[in-house]
Amino acid sequence: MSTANTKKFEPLQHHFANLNQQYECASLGMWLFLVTEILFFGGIFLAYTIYREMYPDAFAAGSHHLSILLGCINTAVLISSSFTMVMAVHTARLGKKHATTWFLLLTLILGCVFLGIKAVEYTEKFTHHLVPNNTFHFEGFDGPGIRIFYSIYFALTGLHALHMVIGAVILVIIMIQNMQGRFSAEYNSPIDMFGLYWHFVDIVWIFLFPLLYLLGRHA
Amino acid sequence: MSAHSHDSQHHGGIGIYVIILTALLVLTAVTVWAAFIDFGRFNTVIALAIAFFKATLVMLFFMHLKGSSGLLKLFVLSAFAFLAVLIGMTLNDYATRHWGSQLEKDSWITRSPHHYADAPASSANAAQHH
Repeated sequence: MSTANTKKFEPLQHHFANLNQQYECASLGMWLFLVTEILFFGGIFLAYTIYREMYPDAFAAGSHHLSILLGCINTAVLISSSFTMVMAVHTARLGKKHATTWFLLLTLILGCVFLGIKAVEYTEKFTHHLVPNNTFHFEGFDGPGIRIFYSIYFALTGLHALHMVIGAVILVIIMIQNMQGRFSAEYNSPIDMFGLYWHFVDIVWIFLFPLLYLLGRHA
Repeated sequence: MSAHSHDSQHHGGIGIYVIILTALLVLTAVTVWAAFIDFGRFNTVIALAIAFFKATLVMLFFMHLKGSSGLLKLFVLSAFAFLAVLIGMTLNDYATRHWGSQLEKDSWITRSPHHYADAPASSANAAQHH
């Protein structure tokens, strides 16, 4: 299954002088994409900031209702998946194909665990009428702003989860390509570039977790 | 032909990755612990400081920014510079809206707007369902 693919595939695109130049260009392009992603999420973080200043009590009540345990587990899971991802990049650079496959698989599993826990949290919110639609009802806090908290919660975590789903799909593709022997110690930038994306998604969660789950806890 | 300038020797190996993993997990525990103590306004500052530190660790070591070109570092810094403009300039407006106003303290950004309090469509709907 590997022979046809490896023979046809030429890592170096004709418009690059060498693989190193190609790698530098790919890195710059990937980071440029991530820069736009930072500003993309930044807009929602800004909305969060303004509305939390407007409705501090509602936001405190809202974050009290989120499960800190599930949030903690998910943070640990995602950080661990970042570690397995960087190990996949590391082993790919050393040309250890089988180790790379295993680390990519571990990353995929951890990503799916994260999404599974997220699904449990979302289900809980749907059954308790905490989705900001016309059946929205929050016990214990009666005031404006609580709907806004849940709108922002779903916007931020939903977009983050969407990034995770897209990441999982790309991860499967890269893993198959790796098993087919497309990558080597000389050419492995797709794994490298995907790693950048995966770590970015991890960074978004690093900010989401304290802002949504933790702030307002002490009150 | 080979792309050795971005090879693993350039960015350290498994050891440093394990250290960063441990640091990230410990910092997660610290940020949870700190959230339960009342530092007043500083709870937000502490949470954001830890989050930025964790993000920096991820970018420098997991995303290999440490061994990258100056151009790439400038790119990443520009992202945060524009983020600072986005958030800073907007808050510059919101945080100063009450200046010179007679309503003063309680209207920092109109804490509880009347039009929300008068027509609580959400709670009315919710009451029907329960």
